[in-house]
Amino acid sequence: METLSINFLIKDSPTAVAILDNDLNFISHSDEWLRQFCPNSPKIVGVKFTDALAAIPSQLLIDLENSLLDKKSVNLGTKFILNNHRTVWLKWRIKAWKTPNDEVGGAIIILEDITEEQREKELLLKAEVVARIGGWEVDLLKNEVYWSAMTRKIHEVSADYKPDLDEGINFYKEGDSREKIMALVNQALSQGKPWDTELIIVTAKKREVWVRTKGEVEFRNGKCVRMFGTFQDIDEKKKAELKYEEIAERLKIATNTANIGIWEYDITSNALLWDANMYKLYGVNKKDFSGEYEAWEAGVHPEDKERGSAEIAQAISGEKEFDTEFRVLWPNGAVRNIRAIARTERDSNGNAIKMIGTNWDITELKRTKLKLELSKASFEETFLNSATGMALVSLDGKWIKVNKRLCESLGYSEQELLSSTFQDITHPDDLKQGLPFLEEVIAGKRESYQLEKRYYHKNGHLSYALVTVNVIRNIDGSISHLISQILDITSRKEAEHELRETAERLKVATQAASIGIWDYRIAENVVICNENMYTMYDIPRDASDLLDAWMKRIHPDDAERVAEELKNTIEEKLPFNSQFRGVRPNGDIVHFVAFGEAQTDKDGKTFKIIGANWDITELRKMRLKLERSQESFNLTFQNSVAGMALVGLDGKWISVNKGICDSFGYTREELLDLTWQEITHPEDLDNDLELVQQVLDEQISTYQLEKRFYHKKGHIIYTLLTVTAARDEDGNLSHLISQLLDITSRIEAEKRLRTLVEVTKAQNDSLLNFAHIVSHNLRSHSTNLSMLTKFLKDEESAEERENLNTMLINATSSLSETIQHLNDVVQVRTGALEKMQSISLLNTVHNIEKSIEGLLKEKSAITKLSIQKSHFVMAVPAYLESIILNLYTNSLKYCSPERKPVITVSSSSKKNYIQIEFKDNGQGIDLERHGNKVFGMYKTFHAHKEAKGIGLFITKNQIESMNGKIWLESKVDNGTTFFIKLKKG
Amino acid sequence: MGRIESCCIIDDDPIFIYGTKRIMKEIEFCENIIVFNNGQEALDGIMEISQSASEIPQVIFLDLNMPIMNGWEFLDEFIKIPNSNLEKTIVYIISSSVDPRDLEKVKDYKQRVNNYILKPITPNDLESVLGALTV
Repeated sequence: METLSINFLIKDSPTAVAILDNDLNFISHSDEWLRQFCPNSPKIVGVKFTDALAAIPSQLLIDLENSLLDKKSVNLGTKFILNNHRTVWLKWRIKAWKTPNDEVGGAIIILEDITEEQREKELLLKAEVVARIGGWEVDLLKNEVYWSAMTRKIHEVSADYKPDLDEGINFYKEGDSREKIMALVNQALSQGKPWDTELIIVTAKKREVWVRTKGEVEFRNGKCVRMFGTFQDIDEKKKAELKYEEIAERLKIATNTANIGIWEYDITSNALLWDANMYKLYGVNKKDFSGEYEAWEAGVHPEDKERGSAEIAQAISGEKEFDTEFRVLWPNGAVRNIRAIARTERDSNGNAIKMIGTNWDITELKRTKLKLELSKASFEETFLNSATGMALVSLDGKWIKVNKRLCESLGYSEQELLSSTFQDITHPDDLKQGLPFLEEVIAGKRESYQLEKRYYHKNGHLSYALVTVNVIRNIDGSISHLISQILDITSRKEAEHELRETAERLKVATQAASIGIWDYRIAENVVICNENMYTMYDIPRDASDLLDAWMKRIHPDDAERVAEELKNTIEEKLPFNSQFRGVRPNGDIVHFVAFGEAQTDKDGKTFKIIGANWDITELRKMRLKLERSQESFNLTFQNSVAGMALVGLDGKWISVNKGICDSFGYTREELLDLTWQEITHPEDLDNDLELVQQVLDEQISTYQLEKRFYHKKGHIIYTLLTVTAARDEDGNLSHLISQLLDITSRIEAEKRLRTLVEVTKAQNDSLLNFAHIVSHNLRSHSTNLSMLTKFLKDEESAEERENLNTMLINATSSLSETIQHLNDVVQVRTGALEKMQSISLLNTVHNIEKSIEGLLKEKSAITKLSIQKSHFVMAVPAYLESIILNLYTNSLKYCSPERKPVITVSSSSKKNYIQIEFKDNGQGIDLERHGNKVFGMYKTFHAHKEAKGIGLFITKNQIESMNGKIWLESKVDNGTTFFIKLKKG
Repeated sequence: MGRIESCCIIDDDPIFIYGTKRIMKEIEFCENIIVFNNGQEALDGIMEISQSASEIPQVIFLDLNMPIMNGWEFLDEFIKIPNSNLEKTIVYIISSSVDPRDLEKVKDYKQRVNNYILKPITPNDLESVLGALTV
């Protein structure tokens, strides 16, 4: 029982306990044992210890064997490497148990696997060594100091070194480190505050080492009893850190001074880190910067944004490192130029993770560069486009650069010139001229010189040039090159030369033109003259007194006047300007023109007259001839029957002749006040103006056209106009000569002829019409007749034959009626005019009214007459009666069934005509529909059985045969008014 | 039994109408002959026919010289009648006129006028009208 209860106790023991017998077989064990050491064997009671456990350290077996000999053994933890290669730490206690006989019955074993704890400890120790961390402890009660091996190593003291508190402190470097540790220790002792700091110690080997020292204190009963902590050698790390700081500081100073901004862009997190300079560069406040990539983009100038972003993208993709320039736009609107360089960092897979870069402001640099370029460009510009020839010349005379103007004035192309020296093209005589100057320049005595020299033009002739040479020096003062400005003065030189030649030429010219030149020296009373004078006046070459000889040659009638004029010139200094006659010894009269000018001395006194004169005899003759010709033209002009006018180029009359005035009915004065445009028929104006323009443009010199003018009285004058351009002596257009032929009578004759032709044509047309009407009407009757006879021939029914016979009779009477009508018409058309006489209109109307009295009464018609007794018309009496009768009967025939017929006849006098108005209030005619057929033959407009369509046709023909006219106005259901015009009787 | 349903004669000459009717009867031209004495009468009549359900004439024989409204004026108005059935109606001008201007004028109406027949009308003329119709 006891055993059982023990067994139970054992079973639930929290430790791994087992009871073995003398043979080391399991008697009992705790569950914990099974769990820890025999997890694969559920039942081990009775099993031998060595069989139940997989691997057993030999020490354990020895201890077990010993225990059976009643030896206690304790193992507080030993590391074993088992034969299955596992490393385990085991801890055990083994004791023999005794039977009641006090004999050893077996062993009790408590086995503990402490592998895990031990491993941890071991690792910790290792870690201490690897991290160079040592421990330390001060027992303040005993005033003993303990340093771990690592701590000693850090202090580079021997393994058996025993420090005390003061010594420990003294290892800290004198100065900052020692003061600081002492303060920290005191603080810890007094306030219990732990420390953790980095300080320098000086090792036993006198090396300075950075350490991290940590410490804390332990209090017991308010008294500090223990201090402990760690010591870590951080020298390398610290030194690296310090170095980094130093470099970073230096970089900071450098970048600050150079305004270099540094940025770091974490691509994965899109975080953009800027240093202080960056904000300055982008003109933004740190607080306004979001620290994202987009914040950078926002600062870039809009025009550069796309490119900038693309370049960032290229840098990230690895296409191209970021190295660029762009502009940034400051929030205040300022634009700065930024140069940016960046490096891209990548992970092991080559993915970009970060960009680190710099920015700096190159605005000034850019600006300066630009200025330089501009200045260079403007020099280039000036150089290239200067109107003066310019060249850069090296000291050895080689052209470095030449401008266009120089090439032009020398006739060489730029290439040709550049491959030569200036000596090559300089006139040899002028070569040496510049040398002394050049020497002085080289010697630094002068900066420029100017000289005139001759160059050879490419085509061989000499160019004169004014050369200005300036020196350009290098920064060190040595001569770099020369700038030559070469002003081409060839034309000036030529002008000088020409002047000389002109003088010569003048001499020749005066001779050729027979101009005599004279010089009258008043004081000496002497005349000097050129060769021509002798010839012109036929004065002997050896004449002693020229003045006297000349005066003698002047026509006696003119001599006095000329002498007077000459005197005026001398005294009044008036220009001498005279015409006179000369008499040659042979009696020939010669005409002279003379000019002269007084020359005065400094007192204003005339001392000589220089003059010229020439023979105008021929000129006078010509002029006279011209005058005569003009006179004869004038005579022709004035007396011509044809209208003639001189017209200025501005369109104004210069002169008009009688003929033209007569044609237009104006006086000369009236006509001269008008322009020809004003009296031109507007339809003809454009045509004429266009032709005038052609003359003015000298495309033509003359033109002819038929045009219309208005006579003063307003009627039209038809003219045939011929215009000829007249020129002055220089051949320039001076005016226009217009000749007008009045062709009004011819044109009117033409018009009359045309009217006649039209009348004839109208008559022809009406005849043709008539012919067709006749043929139509006769045909319809004849076809009817033939048709009826044919039916009659074949018809057997007596009744039908009777019917056909009746129709045949009707058809024949219709035919005869038609023929009667035709006869009437034909009669009207022949010989009406001969029988015309003056008839009283009123009488005729009265007679007609009387003859149809019965009819008027039957219809209850009212007639109103308003005809003057004095109105007589030229008419064939029978026609006039027939016309009036027809109009009356028509009015009655087509009267309105709703109204009493009212007929009004009135007349009025118009120029040569009497106009008769015949008005009724009948049915009216739809003129829109029938207007053109009212007077047509066989045209009827009413469904009236009596309508034959012949009355108005005959009426119209009758009136027209009497040179009259008939027309009408009508409104349906309102009435009709006929108007008749007949010649006054 | 006529060969066509109905035709229309527009003429003011009673003798011509008599003759034409007679020839038509001889050759059994049509069942029903409508006669108008001038253009206006014809226009009013045809309008009435086209509005009622009655048979529209298949052929119209039209004279030119008529009082009140002549043949040309009739044609002008006839074209304007808004009835698509009338478009099938064939118009023949029948006239005594040999005036070349009238013959020329027919060309202006060639859309509507089939032919110009010179009076008097003969059985042969009517036969060819029928021929044209059946084709």
